[in-house]
Amino acid sequence: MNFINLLIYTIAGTLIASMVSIIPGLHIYNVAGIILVFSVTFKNIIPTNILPVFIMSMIVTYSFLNTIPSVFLGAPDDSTIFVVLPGQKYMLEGRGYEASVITSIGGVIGILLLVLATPFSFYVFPKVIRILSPHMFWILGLILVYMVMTEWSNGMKRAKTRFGKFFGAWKSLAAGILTLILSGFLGIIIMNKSLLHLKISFQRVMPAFIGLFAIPLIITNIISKIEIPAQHISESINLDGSLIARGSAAGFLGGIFAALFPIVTGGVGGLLAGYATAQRDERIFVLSQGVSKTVYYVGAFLLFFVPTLHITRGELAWMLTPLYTPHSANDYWIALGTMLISAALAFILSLFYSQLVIRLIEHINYRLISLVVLFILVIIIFLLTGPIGILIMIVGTSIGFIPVMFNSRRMNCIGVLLIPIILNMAGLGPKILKFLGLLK
Amino acid sequence: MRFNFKVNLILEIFIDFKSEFNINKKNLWLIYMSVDETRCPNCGRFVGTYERCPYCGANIPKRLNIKIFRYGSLVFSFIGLIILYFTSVHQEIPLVKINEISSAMNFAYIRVKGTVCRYPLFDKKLATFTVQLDDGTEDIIVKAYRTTALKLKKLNKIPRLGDIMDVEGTVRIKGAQKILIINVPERVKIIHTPFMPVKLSDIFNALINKRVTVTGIVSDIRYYYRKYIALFITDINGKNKIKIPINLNILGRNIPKLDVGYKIKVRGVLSYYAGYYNVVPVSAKSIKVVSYSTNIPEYKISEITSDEINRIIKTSGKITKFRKSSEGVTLTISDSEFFIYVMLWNDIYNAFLSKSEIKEGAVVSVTGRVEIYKGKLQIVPKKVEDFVILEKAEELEEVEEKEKFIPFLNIGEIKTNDLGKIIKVSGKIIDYYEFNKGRILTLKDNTGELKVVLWNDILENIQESEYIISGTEIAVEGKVSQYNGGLQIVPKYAQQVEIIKKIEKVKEPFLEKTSPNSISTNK
Repeated sequence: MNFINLLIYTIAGTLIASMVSIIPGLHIYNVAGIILVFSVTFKNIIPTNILPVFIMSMIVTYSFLNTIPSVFLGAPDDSTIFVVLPGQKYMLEGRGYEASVITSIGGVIGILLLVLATPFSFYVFPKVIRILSPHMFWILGLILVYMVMTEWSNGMKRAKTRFGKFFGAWKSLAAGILTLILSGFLGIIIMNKSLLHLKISFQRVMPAFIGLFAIPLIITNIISKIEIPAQHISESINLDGSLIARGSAAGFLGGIFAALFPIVTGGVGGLLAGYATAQRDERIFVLSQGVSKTVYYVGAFLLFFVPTLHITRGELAWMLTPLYTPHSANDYWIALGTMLISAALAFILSLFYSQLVIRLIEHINYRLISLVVLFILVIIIFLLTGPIGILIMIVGTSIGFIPVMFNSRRMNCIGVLLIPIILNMAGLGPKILKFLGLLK
Repeated sequence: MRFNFKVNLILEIFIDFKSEFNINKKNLWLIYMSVDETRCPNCGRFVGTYERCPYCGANIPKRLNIKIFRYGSLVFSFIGLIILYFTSVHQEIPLVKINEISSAMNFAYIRVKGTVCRYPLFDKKLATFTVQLDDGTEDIIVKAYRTTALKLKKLNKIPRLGDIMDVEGTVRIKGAQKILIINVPERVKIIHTPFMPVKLSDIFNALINKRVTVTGIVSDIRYYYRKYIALFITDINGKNKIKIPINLNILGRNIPKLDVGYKIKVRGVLSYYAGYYNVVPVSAKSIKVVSYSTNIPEYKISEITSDEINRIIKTSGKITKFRKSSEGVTLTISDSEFFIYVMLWNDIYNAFLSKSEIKEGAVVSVTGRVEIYKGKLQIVPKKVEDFVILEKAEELEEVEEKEKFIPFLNIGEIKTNDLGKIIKVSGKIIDYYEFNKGRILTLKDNTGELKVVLWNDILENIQESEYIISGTEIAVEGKVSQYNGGLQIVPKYAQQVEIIKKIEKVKEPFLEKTSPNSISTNK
């Protein structure tokens, strides 16, 4: 592999991902999927051996820069303020830039921790995976139960009457359970039936994912009336060594957990790590989110290159498997090098884009941006998956709105993957399919 | 009401999240401002739910009613899922040709129907089932993990080699490898097919992946790492050779004892690999020995032509040339007019108890396969019993040698004119060194010095060879030759080396070795 080529594609991947990452609702997995489709259709656009380098630089950049739209353009209104994230609260205080910088610092720490974790990747993780593999279904089942349990009692204190408290306590939990069941049902259908055209099967969960996660957020942005306050670009950030250490530990724990376990996403990992480490300070939360999502996104993809591990984690690695197979430790080192170069560029770009977005939102109506993105997403889904993809997307959007409207975690939508896979791992998949009449 | 509700709401947020998110009065106001829609944007007065300000008449922009989305999301979720459900219930899983599966179909849920072309493997420890299917267009690996694999076994849906398997699952593509993961064991169908008796000469591509029964003569057996055996069978004429690959790890050690020349019947699945049709046996029991010997045709050397290539034949003749190489011995055997080469590989040659009897002049019988090497025909015996010495060479040699006169010369008398002649010399070994093929001595008498080359096979057969070291006096018969400009004598038999006077005491002879550089050439 030519070094100059490698550098060119690393920079290209970083720049493309940086532009994609600041568009609210657009996920790098969808963009990478489209790039891979082009790569297969028009051979030699990106040489196969360069593809992992290109994708690695994209995922690293996305993990750094996707904070920007969530901080500046994903603001909550009165109906969703119960689930407001500290990052968005920073924005409401006019300190969105600071939140963005803290998250990016978390990203850099995450990258450094991934480099330090290399010996573990080679010698410890393979053993851990081997031990855990037979027990994966009940571990994932427990995670699912715990995830729903954490919904309990949200809003119980707000009501004055006994019934009001009862209703308040159960509202979020019921919404969480309902979201989980409905998204799980959607997952069972799309995973056991070929509803989409076979030639686009590698993106079979894309319409559901965009519907569940992206579109509710975009529509919320469109309908919300909130005005973004003036943002202050600060020269310093309010962090010290102790906060960094605590935030990094919590974030790495959550991120690596999500990276190692199948189906578990960064959000789930972050939730578990948050409860496990019980860190309350919001600065720790913001920093740990930066560490966690970088370790999750990049770490999961990096595991794909570990020669002794032989596991595929994360959507990107799964998308890449048909086109590329790592052969030696050399591939790992190339991926690691790409990761470092891209992380350095992405950190600088995150500062630049944060300032750019702050200036843009002063002049451009971000509801208009959201509308354009919504339009682009619908067009992409229609072109790739046809009318049935649009139907799946609409159903996904409806389910994705339930947690937004009933104040539970949107993370419950991950039932679309978790439920069918846990059922299959437990051997209950066929029974459920038979019960539902899907075995014909 | 609405205003009070919002104020209450904000106060509750303040109470709930004060400690958690560090909410202070300043940012509480920001939150309040952000959620307040009950004040007139023009005059700032409270307007409640009015759409026009009752004080200044300004239009109040109203937001969409959240309830529409709240209950709309529930209704749409249920209706949408019901539509999707009924769509999927009536949808057939598409049957796909394996060669049509592309990388873009990764994760597709499809159906594949094909013949089991490799041994199905069930790993009890990992509870993993793996099988390879071929539908005539390409092949695909089908896998089931843990509970699914165990369920397949419980439902007796583990196929055997050659069965037709109709299976649906999720496509996974890793590089060039196509994999189908079974999720629903109940959807797996196994169709058992009968074995079709086929003559070796009637085998052709259309039969690939079909179950066949073949009968033939074992012409060759090759062993690989004690795990695999490649058995080659031909028809009685030595034609239509096919391979029977035997995997001992899978078939176990219960396969019958097999040898070259046995007539066997094999039931298995036909495939084509590495230039041969392969019949992969279904099980150890599917290999049966029909007869332990077969009538091997006997040929005169003159009758062996290229038509006999690959046939196992028997012939006899006199060894006229013996040539040793690192891999074995090549003999030239001849009748009165014609000759043919016989290749004895080291494993056969070294297995002879009386190797010394295999020499020029001996009359031998050879059974083996006719092969061609560098454009010349040769017979290659596969076992020791295939090479029989009918008449030893010694008696003949003794007679011949008695008739010969071998001159006894002083070392100084040997000249280049004597090259090729057999002579006899005697003297004292003054130096020697070992090399990988034998030992070179420097022999000295009163007239000069001469090198004597003793090949390993000669050295091994000399009695008391440990005394063939510096200080011992010997007499040697052999052919005079030239090497690197110096004359040397090379005995052909061990008997041509005679120890006249042993060195008095043998002191760790190998310590006396000298380097090749110190050997002087014949003067």
